[in-house]
Amino acid sequence: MTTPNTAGDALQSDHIKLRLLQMMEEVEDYAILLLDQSGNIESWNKGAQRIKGYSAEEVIGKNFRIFYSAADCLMDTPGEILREAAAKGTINREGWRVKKDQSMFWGSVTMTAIHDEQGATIGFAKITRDLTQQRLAEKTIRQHAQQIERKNKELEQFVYIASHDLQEPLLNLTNFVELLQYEYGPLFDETAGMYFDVITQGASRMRNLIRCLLDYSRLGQQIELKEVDCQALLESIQSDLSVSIKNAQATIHVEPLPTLVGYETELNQLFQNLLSNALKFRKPGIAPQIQVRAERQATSWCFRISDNGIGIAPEFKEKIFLIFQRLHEREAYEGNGIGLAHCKKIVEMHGGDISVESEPGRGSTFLITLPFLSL
Amino acid sequence: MKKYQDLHGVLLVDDDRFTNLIHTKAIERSGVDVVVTAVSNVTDALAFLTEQEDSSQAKPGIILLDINMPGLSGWDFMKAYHALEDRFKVKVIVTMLTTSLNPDDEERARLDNQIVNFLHKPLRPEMFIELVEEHFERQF
Repeated sequence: MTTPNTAGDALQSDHIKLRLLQMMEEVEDYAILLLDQSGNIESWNKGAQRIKGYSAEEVIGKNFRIFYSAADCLMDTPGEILREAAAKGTINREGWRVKKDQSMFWGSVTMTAIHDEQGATIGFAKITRDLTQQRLAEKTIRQHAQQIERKNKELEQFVYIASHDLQEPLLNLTNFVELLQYEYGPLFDETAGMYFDVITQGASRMRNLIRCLLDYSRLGQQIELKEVDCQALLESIQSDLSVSIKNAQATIHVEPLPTLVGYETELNQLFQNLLSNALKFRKPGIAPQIQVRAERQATSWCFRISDNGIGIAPEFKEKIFLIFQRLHEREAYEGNGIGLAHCKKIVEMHGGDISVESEPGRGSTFLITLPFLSL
Repeated sequence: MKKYQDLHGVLLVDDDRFTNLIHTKAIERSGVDVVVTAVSNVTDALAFLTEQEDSSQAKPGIILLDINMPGLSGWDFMKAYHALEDRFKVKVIVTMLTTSLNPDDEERARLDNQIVNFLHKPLRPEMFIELVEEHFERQF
């Protein structure tokens, strides 16, 4: 800015100053006021009236302490703010402040010291914004987040306890059937033997289900992100599944896959589950053909795992991802109904998405998006 | 019956008496000559250990310890056990885990230098023989 050196410039400058003052007067979203050295109010704008409730006549000349709670005044918060602003030039504070009607609002305050030409503090400019709504909204969000976290913990705990406490009586059931057979075996006929088998099988199935439930609940605890070579991952999975692949006479075609940042064990489980499913849900008499591809998108990798299996009817496209949901009788396709629930949880752990494109009898394609993560 | 050096008794600690029964049966079936004592809580287990004279035929060489018990748990037992005088301690402590479902317990058992092993229930005769063979000398 240049110093006005003619009468015209000075007039122009005064005019601008006046307009500035008028503007400050009119601003409604901010309380803008001037304080003298000791915090007495010298000017008042519309915003101040709106936020704090006082009219200019009521408030001018009073000390700005009236905006502070009794507790704050006792601790001399207002005095401290003035001293700090005088020392530092400008300071920002947030806190609950008092309106004329004694209700509270959450104020965000900027206090700036004003100096004379010699540099001595002659007063303060105080700008206050009412952030009560934001504050309350933040609080609600925070409370919700805490609540969800608490519920999750409870649920984990519940699943763990349930699995443990269910496991013990089950173990006794199995143990005593075994003991019965061992000690009294000769007394029973073939039918009784068959009954024993049913009991044992039932118990073992239940044991399995509980194990799955616990695995599901434990999924994603104690893990860390690392670089995962998906190509190597798929190779190792294929070698793990080699017996099933051979038995099904399946061909698996894996196109070049990326190295990405993710949870290795979980990604292994994800792809293994999907490949196992593709092998399992094959059409009778038709050799499975499975294809794995990945495509780089703007913010994520998109994997496509396609098969030529039995497919999935549209009405089940959501349901298959829920835990313990099965579409087929156990005699037709063995399983616990947990594989895809795991897959969904794993993908969601990565912040991604899983869905399926399919028509009954025409194969399925599972689509997985895994957002780029960094270590 | 097979006899082993320094192995007279086995102490079973499990709040479930059926599990104790199954484990007693398994030890009987293993053919190892030992006196089995079963208790259902930590207090009784500690009392049993500190009451045994050195000459006692029931003085345990092995403790099979359940972890998840109401009130004082297997870990509470271990805490008290660590504070016992050496003469009351036994050669082998094995924690018996209900299932392989809790890796945390396995980890904790691994870190306790008094616990030589953890096994998953139920104990079977061959598991017991293996355990004995590993830690005790056969007497002929």
